[in-house]
Amino acid sequence: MKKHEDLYEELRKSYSDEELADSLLFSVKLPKSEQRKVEEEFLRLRLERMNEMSDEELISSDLFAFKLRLNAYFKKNRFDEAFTFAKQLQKYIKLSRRSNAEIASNLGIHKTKLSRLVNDRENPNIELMYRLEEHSSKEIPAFYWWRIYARELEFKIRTDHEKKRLEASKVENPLDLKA
Amino acid sequence: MPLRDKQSGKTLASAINQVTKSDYTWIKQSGKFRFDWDIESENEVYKIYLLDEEDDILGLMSLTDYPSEYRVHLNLIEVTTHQMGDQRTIDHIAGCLLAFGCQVAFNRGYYGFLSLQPKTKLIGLYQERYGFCQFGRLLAVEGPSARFLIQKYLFDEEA
Repeated sequence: MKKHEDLYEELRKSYSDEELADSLLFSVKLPKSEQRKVEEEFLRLRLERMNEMSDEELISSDLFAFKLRLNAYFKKNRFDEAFTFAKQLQKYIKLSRRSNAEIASNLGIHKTKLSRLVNDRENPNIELMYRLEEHSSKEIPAFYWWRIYARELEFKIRTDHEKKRLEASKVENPLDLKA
Repeated sequence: MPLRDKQSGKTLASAINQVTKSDYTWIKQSGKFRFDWDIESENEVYKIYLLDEEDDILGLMSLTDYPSEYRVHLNLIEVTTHQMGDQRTIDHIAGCLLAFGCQVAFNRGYYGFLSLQPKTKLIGLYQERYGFCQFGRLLAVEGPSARFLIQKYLFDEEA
């Protein structure tokens, strides 16, 4: 079986290196002892890099990963219990590495209100979403928070049969459109 | 800037998913890939395809997870032969796969760290083209450079 390098050399007869970089990326393996040294050196540099990462870098990276997960959720087009506004707000607070009290103060809301929001006992408003966008240094746009909440709300509206019945009982003389 | 029609410049709706058993048979029989992807089946292998042409794989990527080293390693990306060089009709196939690899690395809590051990003579080219940094004999994208690739190749306009 041909190795990656052999195939690459074959392809170079038909394509330039630039063209190949657009369509082919591959890793090579060196002879065992040489490869071991390469891996040892890499691991040392990798650990060094991890140790020198600042809090700001760590938060920025976690926040971006959070954004990617939200994007993946939006693409799925259906509600998931793990993605309620309250749960995602809890996650946001955790990855910001700040206390609930600090976050409440940062957002200009009372800590009791924040507590009610993260415990799903109060609904968020658009003003809060704009504040969260600003708080995340604009990494998580306000409309992301809206999408999370809107999907949850739609699910609640569709599945809260008890409330539907209760409210229906308050309606008088509805349009009679039955055929 | 996801997959793009080379002639019209229009964005093409695409998806990236893990390769299935039946895909390996197709890959082998189609003759559109030169590398032996059966060997890669022990790794995590992903395919990219147009949403309206799911049966036609445009590119493949093989990754290995190194959880203790907080990284995902890129073994191989190959674009189908009819999308290579001047004859290609679609741009950014390899870029989208590479960006997806970075996304996997972010999702696993590795700060987007994706490594590659290229041929020595290709190091400069990969650095210039994709923003890789050198870690000894290996290259890697991480943090801002990984994020740049994701935003360039995977995000749509409003994201």
